[in-house]
Amino acid sequence: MAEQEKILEVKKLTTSFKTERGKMNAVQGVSFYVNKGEILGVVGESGCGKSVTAQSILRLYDEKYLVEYQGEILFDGVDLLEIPEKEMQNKRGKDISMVFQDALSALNPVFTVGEQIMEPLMNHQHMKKEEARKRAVEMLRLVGIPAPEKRVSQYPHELSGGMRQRVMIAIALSCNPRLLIADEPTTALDVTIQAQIIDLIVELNFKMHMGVILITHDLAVVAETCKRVIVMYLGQTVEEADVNDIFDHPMHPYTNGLIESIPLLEDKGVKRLHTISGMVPLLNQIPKGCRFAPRCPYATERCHREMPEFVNADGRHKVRCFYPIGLE
Amino acid sequence: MKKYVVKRVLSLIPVLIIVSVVIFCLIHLTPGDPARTMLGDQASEIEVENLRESMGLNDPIVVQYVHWVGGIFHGDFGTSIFMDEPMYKIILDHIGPTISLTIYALLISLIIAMPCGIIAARKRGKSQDQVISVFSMVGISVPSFLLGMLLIILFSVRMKILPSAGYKAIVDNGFLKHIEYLTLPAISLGLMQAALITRMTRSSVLEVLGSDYIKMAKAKGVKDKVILIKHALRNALLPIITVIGQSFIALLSGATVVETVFNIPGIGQLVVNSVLRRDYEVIQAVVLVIALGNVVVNLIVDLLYGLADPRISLE
Ligand SMILES: Nc1ncnc2c1ncn2[C@@H]1O[C@H](COP(=O)(O)OP(=O)(O)OP(=O)(O)O)[C@@H](O)[C@H]1O
Ligand code: SF4
Ligand SMILES: [Mg+2]
Repeated sequence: MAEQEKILEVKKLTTSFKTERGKMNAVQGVSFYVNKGEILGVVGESGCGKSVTAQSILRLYDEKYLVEYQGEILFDGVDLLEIPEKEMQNKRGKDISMVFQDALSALNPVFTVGEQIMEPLMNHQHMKKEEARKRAVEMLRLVGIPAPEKRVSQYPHELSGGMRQRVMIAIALSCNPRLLIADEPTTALDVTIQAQIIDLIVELNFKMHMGVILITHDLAVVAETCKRVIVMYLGQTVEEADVNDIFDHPMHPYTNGLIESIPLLEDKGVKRLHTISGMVPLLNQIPKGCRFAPRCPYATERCHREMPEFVNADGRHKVRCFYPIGLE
Repeated sequence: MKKYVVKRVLSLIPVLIIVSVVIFCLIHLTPGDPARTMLGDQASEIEVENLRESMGLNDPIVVQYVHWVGGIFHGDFGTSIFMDEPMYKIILDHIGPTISLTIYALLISLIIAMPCGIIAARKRGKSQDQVISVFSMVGISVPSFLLGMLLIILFSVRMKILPSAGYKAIVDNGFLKHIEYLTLPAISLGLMQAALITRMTRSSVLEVLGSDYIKMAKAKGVKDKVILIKHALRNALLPIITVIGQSFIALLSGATVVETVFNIPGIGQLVVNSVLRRDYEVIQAVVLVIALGNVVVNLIVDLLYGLADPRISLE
C-alpha cells in the first residue's frame, strides 16, 4: 500500500495535570497518526486518557493553571505545541474540530442552535450574520435535522438528545475542518440513535474527506467504521494496527482481553463472557514497569521491573509488550 | 408572559393576608399602651380609658384587624397618633430617601462586586484572588454603622470632602447635592452586600468556566475574552440575579441603621421614631409597605430570571 499523507502525527505526547498532590501524568508517551480522509479508532477503558489525548490535541486545557504538555503534535507538519495561543485559536473549529460526549452540557443553554453554529462561521470565515445564518440552516440540513429553518432558532433544551448531537456535529463541521475529533459521540444516546450518528460521521467523512479520530469504548463500532485503531491503557498507547489485524491477532494481552470480552451474536451455547481481571489502578498508583503487569496473565518478573517501549512488531502493527501474543 | 404575571400577582394575595395578620399580631400583642404613651404620665386613668375607647383599642382584636384591613382597601392605612398627616403622605415622604439610598447602595455594591468577582475567578489562587478574598472577608464582617462612623471620621472630619449627615432631596437641591449627601451612607450600607455579591460572582463564574460548553466554545476557536464575556457571564449571571434581589431586600432593611447614623429622614428613621412613640398604626403601615416591597422585588427577580434563561418559560 502506498504511503499516505498524514494529517496529524502525535509523538510521545505527555499531558500532566498539576494537582494538589503534585503532577499527574494522565497521558504518557502517546504516539499515533491519522491519515488524510481516514477514520482512526481509539479504544480503551474509562479513565485511560482518551479524552485527555483528544483535548490535548486542541490544547483545550488551561496551560497557566492546569496542565503541562510534552512531546509533539504535528498537524500538517506544524507542531501545535509550539505555536502561540492566538494561532491555535485560529485552528480550533476551523482546521480541527471536536465533538463532545454529552451534547446537552456542551451546548450553551442560553444561545440558540443557530447562534452557536454561526459563531465559528463569523469568526473564522468572516461571514456576515445573514450569510452565516443561511449556512447554519444548510449545516442542519446536512446533518439530517428535519425542518432546519425552524430548529435554527430553537434552544438546545428544545431538541432531543440525538438532534443535539447532530447540532454539535453541525457546529464542528461548519468550517470544513480537515480533522474531526469525535470523543465518544454516542455514549449518551439510545442504541438506534447511536448507529445513526456513527453512520452520519462515516458519511460526512466520505463526503468531506476529512480525517476523523473516533474515540469510543465500543470495539464493535470500531470494527464497523475504522480501518485502523489504537488501543490505550492507563495513559499509554499499547497497540496500534489495522482493524482486521487487531481482531484476528491481537498482540497485546490487554487488547486480547478486550476482544474476548465482546459478546458475539453468533456465539451459541453457554460460553462465559471473558472479563479482564483486576481493577484499573489509580493514576497515583501507577506500576513502575509495564502498566498492565498487575492484571496481565503473562506477566513475568521483567514486566514488573521494566517498562516496554511502543515498537513495531510486525509490519504496520505496533505494540507495547515484551511478549506479544503470537510472536515468539 | 402576561398570564404568568397575573398568576403570580394573584398568588401574592394569600401571602399578603398572612403577612398582615403577623404584623398586626406582633404589634398588638407587645406590651405597652399607646394611649398612655400619648397622654403621658400625668394623665388620669379615665382620660386614658376614654382615649382607648375612641381609638378602638378596647374592641376585640379581631374587630380591630378587620377594621384595619377594611381601611386599607379604601386607601386608608390608618392614622398616625403623632403626625397630623394622612398615612400615605407620611410614608411617601419617607420612602423617597430610603429608595434612593438603597438603589445607590446596590449600584455601588454591583460596581465593586461584579468586576472583583470576575477577576477573582479568572485569577483563582493568584494574588489578585487572595487580596479580593481578604477584602470581602473584611467587608462581610464590618457592621454598617461602624463603617459609617469610620467613613465620617475619614471623609467628613479629616478630609472634609463629603458631608457627615443629613439629606437633600433631588427636587429641592438637584441631583448632585442629593448624591453628595447620600454617598457615605450608600457606601457604608452597600459594602457588605458588595462583599457577598463578590463571593457569589466568583463562585458562579468559576463554576461556569469549568463547564463543558465553555470548553466547546474554546474548541470552536472563540477568543478567551469573548468566552468570558459572551459565553460565561450570561450563564454566571443567572444565579447572581437572585442574589441581587436578596441584596436589594437586605439593603432595604439595613437602611434603618444607616439612616439613623447619618440622620436621613427615611423609612428606617420613621420606624425607629414610631417605635419609640408607640405610634403603632404607622409601624403597621410601614412594615406592610416593606413586606409588599419584598414581594414585588421577588416577582421582578423571577421575571428577569425567566427572561434571561431560555430554559424557563414564563407561562
Ligand atoms: N482536569 C483534570 N484534572 C486532573 N485530572 C484529570 C483531569 N481530566 C482528566 N483527568 C484524569 O485523567 C485521566 C484520564 O481521563 P480521561 O477523561 O481522558 O479518560 P477517558 O479515557 O476519556 O475515560 P472515559 O471513557 O470515561 O471518557 C483520569 O484518571 C482523570 O482522572
Ligand atoms: S509487558 Fe509483560 S505485563 Fe506487560 S502486557 Fe506484556 S506480558 Fe503483560
Ligand atoms: Mg472521555
